[in-house]
Amino acid sequence: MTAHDDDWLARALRTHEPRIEDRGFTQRVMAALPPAPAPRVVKEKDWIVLAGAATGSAIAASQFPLEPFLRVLVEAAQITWIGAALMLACMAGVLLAEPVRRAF
Amino acid sequence: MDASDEQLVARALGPDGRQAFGVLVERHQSALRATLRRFTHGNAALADDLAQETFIRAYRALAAFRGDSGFRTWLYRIGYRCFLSEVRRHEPPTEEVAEHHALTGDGAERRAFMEDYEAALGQLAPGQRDAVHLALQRGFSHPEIADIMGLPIGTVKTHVLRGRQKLQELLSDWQEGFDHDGT
Repeated sequence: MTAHDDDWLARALRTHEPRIEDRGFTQRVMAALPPAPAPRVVKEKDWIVLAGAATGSAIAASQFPLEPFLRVLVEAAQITWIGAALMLACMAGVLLAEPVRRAF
Repeated sequence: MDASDEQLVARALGPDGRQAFGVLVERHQSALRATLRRFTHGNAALADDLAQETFIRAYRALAAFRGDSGFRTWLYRIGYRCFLSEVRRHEPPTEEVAEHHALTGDGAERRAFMEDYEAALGQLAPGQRDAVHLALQRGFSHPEIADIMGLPIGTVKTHVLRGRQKLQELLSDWQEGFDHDGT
């Protein structure tokens, strides 16, 4: 079988396939389409829920001492800085290793 | 110049998008309905219902269309799923229904060829038949057919290769005429 043999059938089918006339099909589809989804509007009820949640969070936060939490946060930040510095040092070492090896 | 499918999809997502979607429906209705008629063994009413359902589902999911595949491939994938849901709900019709009166094109040769083609296609296994139709008549590539039918690409290649070979054997009497005409 050759590529030409393959072509004749596909060509014949595409040329000879009759077109189905629309005859109101598109109109029926358009009539049956659901309305386009409207952008969501934040309603008054939503604002009340949001305000309630914010007030509740603020009351809950006020019940806990803030100082120990901040201390832990600062310690964690320091640990992160040390880790980042070590990582950068390692990367610099890897990058510098090859030129140094060539130089000596 | 006509807007591409992807441009129309972008417009359909904007304000007054229904008009752009209408152009897409108009553009693809004939081929999609013909494909669904093929899948439903020529049941024109069922095929049109499925085509309508396909366009409605496509419209609802339009915002989710990412353009990873072409719009046409995406549309046919939805159409094929609609068809499979229908098959799962009911037994597929076993009798071939001839539905040529609604089609345009009156050439005697055209009709004779298409009738022979229908008969030849009827001798293929269902999966093979659908894959061959999508490849030969709709011009989809193997990966696109795999995407539409949800099949591994190797299976699609085998379906198309074997199906086409069989069709060429069965329709070999027509080949000379087409080669001569160059159509």
